[in-house]
Order: sequence, then C-alpha cells, then structure tokens
Amino acid sequence: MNPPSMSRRTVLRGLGTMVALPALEAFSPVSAFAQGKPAHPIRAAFLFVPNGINMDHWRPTGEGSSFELKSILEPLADLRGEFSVLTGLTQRNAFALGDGPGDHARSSAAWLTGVHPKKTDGSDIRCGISVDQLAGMHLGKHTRFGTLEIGCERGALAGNCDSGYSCAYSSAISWKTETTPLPKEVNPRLVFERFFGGGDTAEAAGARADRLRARKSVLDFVSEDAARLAGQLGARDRMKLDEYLTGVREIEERLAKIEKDALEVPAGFERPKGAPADYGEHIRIMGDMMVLAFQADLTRICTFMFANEGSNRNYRQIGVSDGHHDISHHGGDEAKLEAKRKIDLFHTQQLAYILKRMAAIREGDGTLLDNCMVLYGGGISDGNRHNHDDLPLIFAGRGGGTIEQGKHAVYPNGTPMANLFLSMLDRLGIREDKFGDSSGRIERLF
Amino acid sequence: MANARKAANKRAWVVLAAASGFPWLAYHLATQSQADQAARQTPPTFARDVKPILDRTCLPCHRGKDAMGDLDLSVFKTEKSVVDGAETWIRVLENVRAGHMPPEGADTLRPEQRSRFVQWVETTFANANCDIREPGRVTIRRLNRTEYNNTVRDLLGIDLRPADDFPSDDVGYGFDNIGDVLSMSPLLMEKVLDAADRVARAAVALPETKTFKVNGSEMTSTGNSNEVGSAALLFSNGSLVTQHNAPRLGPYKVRIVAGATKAGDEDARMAVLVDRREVSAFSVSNEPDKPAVYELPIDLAAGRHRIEVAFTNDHFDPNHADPKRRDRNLQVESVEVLGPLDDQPLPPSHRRIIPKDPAAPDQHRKAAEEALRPLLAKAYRRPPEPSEFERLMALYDSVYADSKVFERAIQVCLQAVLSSPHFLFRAETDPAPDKPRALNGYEVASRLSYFLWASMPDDRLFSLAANGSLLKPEVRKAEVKRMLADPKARSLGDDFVYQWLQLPRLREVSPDPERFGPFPATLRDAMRTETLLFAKEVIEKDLSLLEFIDGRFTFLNEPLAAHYGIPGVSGNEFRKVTLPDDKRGGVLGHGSILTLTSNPTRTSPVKRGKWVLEQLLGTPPPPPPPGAGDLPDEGKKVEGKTLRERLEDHRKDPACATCHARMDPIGFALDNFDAVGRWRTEDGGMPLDVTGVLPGGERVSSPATLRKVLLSKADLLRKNMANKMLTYAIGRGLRFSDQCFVDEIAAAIAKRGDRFSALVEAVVESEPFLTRGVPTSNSATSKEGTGASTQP
Repeated sequence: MNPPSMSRRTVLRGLGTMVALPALEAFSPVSAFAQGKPAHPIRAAFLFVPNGINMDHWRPTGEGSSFELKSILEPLADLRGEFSVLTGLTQRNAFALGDGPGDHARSSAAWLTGVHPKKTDGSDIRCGISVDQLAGMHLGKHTRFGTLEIGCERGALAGNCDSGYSCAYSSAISWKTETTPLPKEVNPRLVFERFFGGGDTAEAAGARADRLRARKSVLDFVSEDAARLAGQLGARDRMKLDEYLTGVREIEERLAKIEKDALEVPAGFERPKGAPADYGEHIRIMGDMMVLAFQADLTRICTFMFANEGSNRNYRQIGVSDGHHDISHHGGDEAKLEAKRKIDLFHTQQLAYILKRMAAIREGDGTLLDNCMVLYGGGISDGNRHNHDDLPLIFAGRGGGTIEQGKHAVYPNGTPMANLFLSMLDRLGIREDKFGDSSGRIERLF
Repeated sequence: MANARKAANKRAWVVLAAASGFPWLAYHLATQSQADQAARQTPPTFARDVKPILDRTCLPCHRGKDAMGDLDLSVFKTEKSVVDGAETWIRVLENVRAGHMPPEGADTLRPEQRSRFVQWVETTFANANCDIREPGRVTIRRLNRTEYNNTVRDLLGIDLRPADDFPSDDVGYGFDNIGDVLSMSPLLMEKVLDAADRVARAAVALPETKTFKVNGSEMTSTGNSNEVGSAALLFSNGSLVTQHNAPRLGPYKVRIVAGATKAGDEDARMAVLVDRREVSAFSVSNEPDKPAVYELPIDLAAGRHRIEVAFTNDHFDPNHADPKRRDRNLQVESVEVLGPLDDQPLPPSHRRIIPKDPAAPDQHRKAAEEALRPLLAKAYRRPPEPSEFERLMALYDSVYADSKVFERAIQVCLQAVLSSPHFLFRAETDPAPDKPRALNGYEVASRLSYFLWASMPDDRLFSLAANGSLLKPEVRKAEVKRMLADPKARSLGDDFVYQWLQLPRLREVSPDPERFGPFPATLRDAMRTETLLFAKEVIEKDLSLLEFIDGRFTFLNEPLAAHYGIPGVSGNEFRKVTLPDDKRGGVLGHGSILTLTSNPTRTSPVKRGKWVLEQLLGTPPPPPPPGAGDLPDEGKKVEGKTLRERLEDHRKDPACATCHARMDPIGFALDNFDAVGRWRTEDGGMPLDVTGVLPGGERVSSPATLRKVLLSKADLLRKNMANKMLTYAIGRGLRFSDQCFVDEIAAAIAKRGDRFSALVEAVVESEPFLTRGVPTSNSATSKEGTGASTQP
C-alpha cells in the first residue's frame, strides 16, 4: 500500500467531534474494496425532514444564480456553489385525491415513489418502488450493501399513525417493492457493525472463514425449507415468505462479496457507542455513517430520515418545548412560525455539517460531494396547509461534474418531483422513461 | 324481538366499525346521527336514494379498471352486492358523510340527499346476518421481537434478548403481532441470521483445546542458539520465545522439557517469563540426553501472552580437566501450556440441547440424532417431517466432516434451525384452501402459548397437542387456567395491556420542565410500572375488567406517591395501595395515561377525551378536517380567555362541533390532573371549571363522576375489550364478518362477572381462534390458492 498522503491528524482536525473518520481517501483507489470498480462512482443520497417548512424563511429571493439566501438556508452559505434550491416541484400523489385526511403519511410515502399510497392501517399497505431502491437494483451489485436506510427515529410504536394510514407510510421513505417499505437503522453502532462486523475485530482469519462457511450452509438449508413451505401456503402467506427469500438471496450475494474482499476496520476508527441522547449529535453521527459508507464504497445509495413524518419530538435544546408536529399546525400564529423556523434552521445546520464533511473529502481532482447527488427536503410545503406542491428541496453535489450548482431553480409549480428522479437516474447510468408520475426530465441543472 | 335483535346487531356494528379501518363510523352510530331523525319519515331505499346518486354522481370517476382511487363502484348494482362489499362501502360512507365526496367540481348533493344516502348505508349494515359464520384467515405470522426473545429463552434456556437489536416491528390495528403487517425486510433477515449465530455459540459450548505445545526449535531465539533435532540449544545467555493465546481467564500450567550441560559450580539457570516478567526459575541439572520435566502453575487472562524461556548464567571454562564440564548450555526440547485447568461449568442450555455426549468418538452421529430430533420438534412447534430431519442430519454430517468437532456441528445445526422459516414464522398450512378447517392440536397449542405467553408452547401443551386432547373444550379451559397462573402470563399485561392502553407512547413524551418541573426517567418508569402492576393484578387475581375504569387501588412507590400527593408510602418498592379518596380510580388516575394524553406544555382535554373514546369505549371520533387549528400554550393568556373558553370558541365552528362535543367534556372532567398527572384545582392562575355535559345528557363534574358515567357504558367497554383482545389473540384485523363473534365474547364476559379469565376463555373458544377460514372475498389479495410459485 502506498504511504498515506494525508496524516490522520490532518483529517481529524478537519472533522467534527463525533467520530474520528479514517482518511480512507488515502486507501483509494487501490483499496481492497475498490478493486475493479470505477475509482469515484456517482452516489445518491436522499435526506428527509418532516412536517413542512416555514417557507417564508426558506424560499430565496431572486432566481438563477443571483439569489439571496433566507435565514433557514444561512448555514449553507459557505457551500453556495455546491447546491441549488429547487422551487415548484410537486408530489401530486401525496394529495388526498379523494382519500380524505392523512397528508403526513401520504407525503412521506409518495416522496421517493411518486405513487399514491393505498389508504389502510393494516394488512394491505401498497405504494410503489422508491427511486433509491430502483437505483439499488441496478448499482447494488457493485457494493457490499445495495442501499443503506438510516434515520434517527424508530418506526412508530403504537397505533395507526395518521388518520387511518399505517405507520409504515410515515416511518419509511424507501420502498423495495410496492408492498415492502424498508425499516431503517437508527443506532450508529449497529450501522457500523453491519459494515465491519461485531465486537471481536481481532477475530482470527480461520474463525472468520469457519463462520462464513457455516453461514453459507445455513442459507442453503433455509432456502430449501422456505421453498418447500411455500408449496403448502396460500397466496397471501407466500408473499410473506417471498420477503424472507429475498432477504436470503441478498445475504447470499453479500457473502460472496465478503469472501472476495475482506474489509477491515481502518486503523484508529472509533466504533460508535450507540445513539447519542443529543439529537443534533445523533443526526451528525448518522451522517458520518453515510459519509463513511460512500467513502469506502460500501454502498452508493442512501436514504436518511432525520425524523419520521408527523414526528412530534420537541427541540428543547434550541428552546422549543412544544412538539414539532403541533407547532407545524401554526394557524398563522407568530410564535409558532418562529418556533418552526428555528426547527427548520436546526435541521439545515445538520445538513451543512454533512455536506461540509463530504466537501472536505478529496476524491481524485475533486471531492466526495462532487461525485454525489444529495437531495434534502420533505413532502409537505406548509405544515399548516399540508400542501404537496411548491416543495422545499435542496439539491447538492455535482453528480461527477454533470450538474451545475449554485442556483435558485424555479420550476412551474406542479412540475413532478419524479422528473428530477429521472434526471438523477440518468447520472447514475440508469435509463428509465417513466418514474412515478413523471412527465419528462428536469431542466436547468443538467 | 326483531327489534331487540336489530339493536344487538347495531351494537356489534359499533364495535366492529371501530375495529375496521374507519373507526369513526362507530361514533356516528353510537351517537344516533342525524340520519336517525330522518328515519322517522319514510325509510330510504337503494333504488330511490342510492342507485341514482351512484349512477349520476359517482360513476363518472369511479368506474372500471382506471377508476379513481382504485375504487370501482360500477359493480354495485343491487342491494345484495352492497352488503357483500362491506369494506368498500364503509369507505364510501365515510367520504360521503364527511363531505369529501363528491369532490368540488362534481355534481353536488343536497343535504337531504346526502343524509338519506348515508342513512341507507348505515341501516343496511346494522342488519348484518350472524347466521353466516366466517372465522377468517390469519396470515402467516413472523415472531415479533418480544416473541422471538421469549421463544429463544424457553427453547434453549438462555436469556440473551438478541431481538433487542432488530428493527422495530410493524404495528397494525394497534398491536405489533399482526401477521399481515409484520414484514421480513432484508435488514431484519440479516439480523436474524446474526442472532442465530450468536445464540448458537452461546447455547452450545465448544470443547476447550487444553494443550498447546511448541518444540524448542520452533521458538523464536533472541540469543545464540542451535537446533538440535527438534530441540534448541542455547549456548550463550538468551531466550526462546513463543506466543500463547489463552481462551479465557483461568489457571494454567507451563511444562518445559529441558536439559543442560555443565561447567563451573552452578547448574544451568532456566528462568520462565510471562509477558516479560519472571515468574519462576529452575536449576537444570540433568544432561540434555536425559531431558527432565519442569512445571510451574500460572494464572493467565484471556488473550495473547508472551512465554519466554531464558538461559541466564552462561559459563565457559575451556581449560577444565573434564571435557564434559567446560561449557554450560541450556537445551530446551519443548514448551507446553496446559489449561485452563479448572472446569468451566457448561452453560445450562448446553445440557438441555445435548443431554448426553457421544459415548465414544465413533458414536457422535447417534448422539447428534438424540440431540437434534427433540430440538427440531420444539423449535418448529410440531413433529418434523422425516425429510426435514434428514436434511438437518445431512447438514450435521457436512459440518462434522469439515470440523471433526461434534459440538460445532450441533452449533451450526442449531443456527440453521433458528434461521428457518419454520421457526421464524408460525405457519398454518392450507391443504384445501377453499374450505375452513379446525386447527390441529399443535396449531392450537401455539395459538394459546403465543396469545397468553408471547412464547412457544411448553412440554405439557406439546403432549396435549400430541394426544389430541387440546381439541377438547374442557381440556382447553383447564389449560387456560393453568397458563394464566404461570408467571409467563405476565406478557398479557406487558404486551397486550401495554399496547391496548398505548403505553409505548409514554416513552416519547417530554413534559416541559419549566412548567411541570423535572421529569426524570425514574418517574416515567414508575408511571409505567404502576399501570403494568395494575394490569398484572387484574390478570393474576382474575378481577373484573371494570377495575380498569374504577379500580379503588393502585401500585405506588414513594416517589410516585409523593408525586400524586398520597401519604404513607415510603421506599422505592412498589406495593398495592388502597386509594384514600375518590380523586383517582382505575387507569384514568394513572400518571402514565394522563401524561401520554397531554401536550408538553399543557393538558389536552381533546387528547384525553379521544383516548377514552378510542381505548376504553371503542368509539373513536373521526380525524380532524385538514386545516383545523391547534390551541396556543396554556399559561399565556390569549385574549384573556382560559383554555376552556378557547376550546369552546373552537366548537362554534360547525365542522368541529359534533366531535368535540363528545371529546371535550370527558377531557375537562379529567382536567384536575395536570399534564404530568398531579392533582390541581386551578390552571394558569385561574380556577378550573371541570363540569360538562356529554351528548347523551350525562353531567360530569369531576374524575369520579366521569368514572360513574363510563361504568354505565360497561357494554361498550366489554365489546371494546373483546375486539381488542381478539385482534391481539389471532393476530389479524377484525372484519365485519367478525362482529357476531365479538358480540358473543362480550355477552360471555357479562355473564361471568366481567372477570378477566372470562374474556380470555371466550376469546380462546371463539371460532376465529380455533378455526382457519377461507380467504375473504374482497381482500386486496383475493386470489388465493396453493402451489409453489416461489423458487429459492
């Protein structure tokens, strides 16, 4: 291995206080896990915030490249040339369309799918495959994890979550199939252990090989079990068993990759201890995990829910005692609008941390951020009106140099957000003619 | 008589509407909606009041394959077809009544048109027919996190709680054990496989390798040395070094085989250093050709250790008369580390899985069969097919051939069993998919054990399943009694009651410390403990279900009692306390419920009212219309008005009035409890007004009077309990065809003094619990059938 071109200390100084990320750049492009792959693939991340935004303090004044940032986007000022604000994009399928109340659940379900979710709080949830999962289907073969789903709040704990919509709709944005929303990992330690294995990092090579061999025999055994069982079941039961088999197949594929190239925890890397009590720290450390996954090319696609849709957590650390959802129904009340603005600002501060991390990592002639596409925002515009047009969206990263950033791009209101997805998929090398309710590709950035 | 029947059916309908996806229907039925007044005139008919509206107003959008909202109404041509399409029509009813449909721009309905349309649908379904019995079909159920942990514990006797790291379980119909809703994501699959690996390693111990031997010639020399055969000869001061990896902390023995040549007055000195510290030294007097054994005991911690044998007194005397005494050298044949020498006790699970070790090495396969056959039957909760057992033995053979270690092969087999769908799912197969069938003994055993214990059946249930006696009602009755007396029945409180009362939400609340003082985790835990101990008492003592509404006792420790202002409780232990006055009673006096139904900054009469309607009476109000406002914080005077006055303003809006007239008086009657459940008589400096009138005309003026009103509605509570517990027990959402079963369960409870055990027994004896029905016709995935479409 070449000597590292950057000392660990240099890196640490540039980083946040959460996790000492290793200078993985020093390992690439000859790192074991990058062999035979493009040195700097294009990655995509989708970062979600709930309950709408105080749009008066979000929407920039001016258009094109001459625009002025409002206070919520102020934390991104240093990154001005690295991102754009998108105005006017719409998720039409998050509207009621005859289904009555439930805008929160619909907005998260439709956000990356562009599909109108079926109103049910039970057995027959249905939405559509999400853009990240579609991308994962194509790109997953290159990396150990096809996609990564992370967040800061577990799935909901009790009851139906929104006016007769299953909790699945508001606690997931990734849909593997139209009936399979994906749970997310909320504990940074467990994310890390998925990447690098459990506690015993010094596990001898022999023991590791033995474990992998056993795992393979087990998978063979259970797939046959499942196939035989499927023959005795009705259609509905078989769907559940199909989920099981999909899981088995994914892990079989991953095992094959693990055997090919062993991934070691880079020296000096600190294993996160668990979910920190401080919410900002939690978001940042999960962001670190995402950055690590991109940097080490463990995955190229990530979704990250800062909070579940409809989340009612309080933000006492920034002086907001009431719940986020309660506040978002501001009814024009000045105090609530101000509290909402503070929450929105708090979230973009965390976004700024993550984007700066990505911008600080060198990749070839550019940065990790240059090779990424990061979409940030939500599926509700004004939390009081529950409208799903004029959505608040930030789009960062240059997609490998194919995207011109630093703009306030204003689209005719009602432009399907799915048009953006088609254009993003293009950048990932995936050619689709239609996604969700798309009506074409998006202009002005590409 | 016909009227009484009709009334009974209507009550059933109320409860089932609550169970359905559209629970607020129950509320409308319970409150005698405007439709009832219209009914005094000519009753509406399908032909006159419904069909024309369907044809003219609905069908333009809701027709055929591309119907809006996937809702094709063109199939409803007759009254009969509407009755068969109950689920669809509840959706129609909800939307038409709420004014969501027809939408703006479509043909509008006059108020009386709308009202007669709504009335017809309501009355049609109130007359449901209990002669048609549809026990329903439960979708294959994955073990949820609780069940997984408990099952591993009861199967292996090892309490690792591996599922605590699994993603949270999906919740449907208020519970986390609903087969249709529980999914198996790739992430969960990965965690399940990891857990199986971890559990297998913890449950079965591998034999310890107790000897480690290295020849002198294989050791690293730090000085001058020669190889002499397999030995090493140190001919000047220096050391031989090796590394030893100790499997665990314990006593070990180092054994060195060595000899020495002589010179000078002393014998060769051989020091032994562990991790660079000298632990002992020997005088080596025997000649190299007569090597002797030198041993010393040492204690080693787990991990790698540096073992060093040092020669420290080299002597050279080339002029000595005796050529055999001219050069003192140390020759080391070998170094062994033996141990750990104490016998680590096997984990209890080890002997449970492997009752007998192989009698001789060549009989390992027989021992494996003896271990794996019962394990497989218990893990799959039924006798395995011969082919299933053969496949497991084939796996055993392959791992044994590979490792030559009996215990390792058992470990991997256990890992496979714990990863198998037969373990992870509770499958009930469909030999003839179109016919309902009684469940077999093993299926009943599992339904019972997962219902009452959230775990697998025990040996007794297995044996009653094997001899078929579990299919007899009297045997089941005795078993229910036995199982309820078992400590594992606590799960009915910790899982069923916990979710029924929405206690998981207590974890999410965070009352504002500026208004309510600190809310430490200990207080939160104490609140949860109070309610769970209360539930445990009702279950264990087989008390009346009405105790949940008006129990005159609770469980307190000193901090919680101080929080409530109840004197005479000291120490951190919880104990049963008879309530000193009528301020508190039942769960509505519990800090847990009062806090989880409050906002962080104030009480919420609306949330409390809604909670009572939803969780206790089973008649929830519909969700608020979009854009409905929320109220500002208490404490701040808004236009000089109290919270109550502001809520009353809110109720002037006709869109809000009907529902709030039901929720608010209930909530206000509880407003003597602040947002963390402490008693108070004023709010924000203003005296509280807790009086109110419910839509039925009942006056409430305190928590105590509210409890009395609720007791007068015991019928609703019974049905609600029947509905909730049946849902939890069978793991599926209830449908309209289940209303008659719920009715029967509720009637059975009332007959037996509302005892908790009466509810459990009635649920167990119900058809949905004991029968596997046919797939319901209008479900989203109605095309059922058997056949293997799935390939691995």
